[in-house]
Amino acid sequence: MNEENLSVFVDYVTNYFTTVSKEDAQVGTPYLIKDINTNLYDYTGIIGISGNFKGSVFFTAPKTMLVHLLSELGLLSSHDNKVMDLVGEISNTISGNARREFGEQFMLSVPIVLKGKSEDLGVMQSANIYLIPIVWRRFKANLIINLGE
Amino acid sequence: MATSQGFQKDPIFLATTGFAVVFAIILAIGYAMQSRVAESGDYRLTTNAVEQWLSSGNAADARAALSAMQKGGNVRVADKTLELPELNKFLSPDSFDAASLASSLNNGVNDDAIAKAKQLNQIVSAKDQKRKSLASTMLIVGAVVTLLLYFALMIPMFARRKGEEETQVVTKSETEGIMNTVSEGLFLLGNDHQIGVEQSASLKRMFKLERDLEGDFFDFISDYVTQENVRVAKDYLDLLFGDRVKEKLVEDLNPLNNVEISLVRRDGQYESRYLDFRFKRVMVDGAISHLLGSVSDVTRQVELEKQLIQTKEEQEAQVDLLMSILHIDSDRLQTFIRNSSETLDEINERLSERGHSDGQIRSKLVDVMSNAHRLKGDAAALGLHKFEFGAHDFEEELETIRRGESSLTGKDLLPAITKLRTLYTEMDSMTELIGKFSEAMNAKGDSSVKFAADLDASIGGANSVETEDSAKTEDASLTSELENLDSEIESDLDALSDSEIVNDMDANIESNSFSVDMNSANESTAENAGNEDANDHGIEDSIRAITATVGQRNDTPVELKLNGLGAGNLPSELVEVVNDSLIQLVRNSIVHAYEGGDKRRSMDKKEELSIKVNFEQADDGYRLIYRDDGKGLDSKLIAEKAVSSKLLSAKAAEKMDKSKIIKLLFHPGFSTLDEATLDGGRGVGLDVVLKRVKEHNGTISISSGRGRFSQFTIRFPRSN
Amino acid sequence: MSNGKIKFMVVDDSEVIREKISGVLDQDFEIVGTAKNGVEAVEQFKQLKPAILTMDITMPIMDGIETIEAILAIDDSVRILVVSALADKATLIRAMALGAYGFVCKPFTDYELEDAIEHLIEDIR
Repeated sequence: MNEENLSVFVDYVTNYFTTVSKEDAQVGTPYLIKDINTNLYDYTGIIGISGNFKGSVFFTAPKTMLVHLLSELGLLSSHDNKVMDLVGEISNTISGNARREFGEQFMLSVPIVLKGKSEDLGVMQSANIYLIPIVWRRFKANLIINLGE
Repeated sequence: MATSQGFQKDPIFLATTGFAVVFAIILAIGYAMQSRVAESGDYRLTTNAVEQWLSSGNAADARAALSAMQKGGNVRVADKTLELPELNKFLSPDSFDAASLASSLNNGVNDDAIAKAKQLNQIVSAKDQKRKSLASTMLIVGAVVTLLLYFALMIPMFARRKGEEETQVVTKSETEGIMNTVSEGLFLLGNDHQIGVEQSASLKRMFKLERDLEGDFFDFISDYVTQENVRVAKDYLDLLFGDRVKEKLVEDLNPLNNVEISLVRRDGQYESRYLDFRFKRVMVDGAISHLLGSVSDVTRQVELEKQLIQTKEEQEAQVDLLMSILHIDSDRLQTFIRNSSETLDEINERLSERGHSDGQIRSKLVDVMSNAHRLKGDAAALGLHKFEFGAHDFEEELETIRRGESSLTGKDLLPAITKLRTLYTEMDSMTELIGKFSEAMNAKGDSSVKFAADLDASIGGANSVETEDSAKTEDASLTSELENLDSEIESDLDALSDSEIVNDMDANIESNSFSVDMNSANESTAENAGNEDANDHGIEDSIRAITATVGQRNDTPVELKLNGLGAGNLPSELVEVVNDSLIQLVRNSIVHAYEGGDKRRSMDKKEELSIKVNFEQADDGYRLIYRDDGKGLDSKLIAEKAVSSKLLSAKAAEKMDKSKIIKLLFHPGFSTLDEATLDGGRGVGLDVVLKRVKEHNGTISISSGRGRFSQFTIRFPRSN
Repeated sequence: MSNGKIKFMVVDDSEVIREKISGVLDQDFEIVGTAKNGVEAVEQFKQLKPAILTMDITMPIMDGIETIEAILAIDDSVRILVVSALADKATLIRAMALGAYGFVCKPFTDYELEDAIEHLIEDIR
């Protein structure tokens, strides 16, 4: 898994929004971060990528955005369960797509969903984790990609 | 063994059956013998017996009697006829009534005959008895022998069987012991790819499972390795099962000797382990019946190896880095690290700001590009080539993106962010390395800067400086109206807004009648010349180094004369901006202003490009005067390039006056070279200069004579 | 094998290797042709019908695996000795699975090559 694959992951996310809501999401300017935790929103889907112990992809979104998305899917709810389900669903979609495209070369785990922050996620020495903002309606989600090392 | 071969084939069973049959046969024979004896006759008289009986008597009669008896007829003895039943009476084994016989026969039966008859009877009985006893003896003996034989044979067999069973039990528990303890994962694989039931305990542990493995081997490992691996494994195992390929050859082909498996951890992320799978053919009766699989966990070895390689590479990289920074003054290095880290953060900050429309992204790009360019220059000045090249790559990437025709989105910036990340990583390595060695460097006490680069003989020390006295060409100055250039970045680039820019250019910029009188040796600066502690700021060495480097890279010989840059003359707050400006100016001169040796000679110029720098104090502040004797500034060329760089439409270019055209040099994105090289071509340098100069409330003046020189005068007010 | 010699063909894009292999063979063999890529190999094979051929699977244009498949489709009694870099185990295994008879790894010594060829013909000599 290397830099060339970043763009593909971004596409999976934007495709999801477009498909589900018929409204495109925009990609904000990517930049680098050291600390994943401080860049997480309310709910996060985590996908592990093989080979690299710390290689992972995070899709993290605020509750409000997720609730809006839920309503697009016909579900008027702001229940924790439903919201977490949705995040899991989005992450599953990303993971599934990636598995289809890269599955030959490396493995992608079944995503887990995190609410809030996590102690397991440490801080890097220096900014080398990619953060790509995703903007949909007036909400912002983050696609965070850690290639480890 | 009994179970595997079927009940019928059990040797003990067969043996027992065999013996039973033999036993039965013997019994039958014995019984048959006995009954035959019983049947044929207690009353059997052989010819010999009768003769014996009647040897002294009537042999002929005896014969006759015998044969008659045998035929079941009557006996005619002498003249008396005895019927058989009657005779039988006399010949019954139980009682021999000799007297009765005698009286019946009534004829010459004498004692002798009677005795002989008795004898005969005994003999017969004895023979009968003998026969009977022989029969029963045979029976008994036969039975006993059979029994003995049976036991003789069976007891060892039973014993062996018992022994085998015991061994089996011992073997089984030994095997269990082995299977539970062995660290390798052992299992059998059938032709149908099914995993066998018998497995070593550690096999499941290798995959962090609770239960033994089962089912199709390939289905199983699909969960742990990539599809590619599974495919290759299938091919390989098929080869093993087939008998076409020899085992030794096949061993060489094992593709699974260091396969990476991925185990999912609690937090959903993956953990890598490395397993070594080996397969051997299990032969039964000359055919391949199974494969024996043996799995070892070789994670530690693999990781150690990787670490070893990585450490080696790191060490090599560190040595390289060390070599490149050894010659750099420790203070300047610290300054570079500090500034560059800040700059990287600035770049990252700027990128992270809100705004992802095409315009906003382009604006970010431009800002970031300036920073990148400065980074590059700074790195180059210190001879940090790796970082310089990294910054150059970053800059190139940004430019490529910016050149894109279509509307930009955040996604387009991804490749650039990757390169930024590389810069951060390199910065980290440098910082780490310097941290390790800064003590050593300080301890050395020598903070002097000695550049490894060989200075061209033409680059001398500070000596006589020529300054112009043409006040008329210097009065005008580009004021902060150049600010308008910045705002023009956002809007339509075709029209440069009118400004009150006072042009310092003579209208004769195009003619060669630019008068510049150069005096030699300005006294006021002489005392500073050559005496300053050139090492206080290190700026002179820095400029000399960059001149040497860039000059060499572009095959340009340069004669560099510096004056007034020592600590006593140049105030410390201006050191950076002066340094940065000179770097850009020198690079631009070398790349753009040098005409080439031949051309210069034909113009009676020295082959070396002459660059003169003078820093002096004036009443209202400070002046930095930079001058090269190259081809000068050509406004037509500049205009053309502006148009082709899409900064300006052709029409606007026609209408623009020279001073404005010259201003374009300070516009980011301007370039007079077709190809961007490491040093020039991006044209971004001068806009940085302008920015920095403005930060110090300074101004820039430009003068130029075509084919003769270019001069930049930068003024700074006193700061108090 | 009209003259009793075994017909042999060398397929390799390096002239040096072609010569090396040719040099190792003794009088039992007759080199009927060489080819420097897969396409040529198939063409030559059709015409010359060698009993044995060496195949370098790292050639350009038509890859070794395809060539092996093509040749075995024409005549599957031919015995193919695959020449390859061992690092590429997957391809090698593929080749063997398709029907190649044996393999030898680059760089190989003359001895290794002789050995491999011996194995190839041990039951038809």
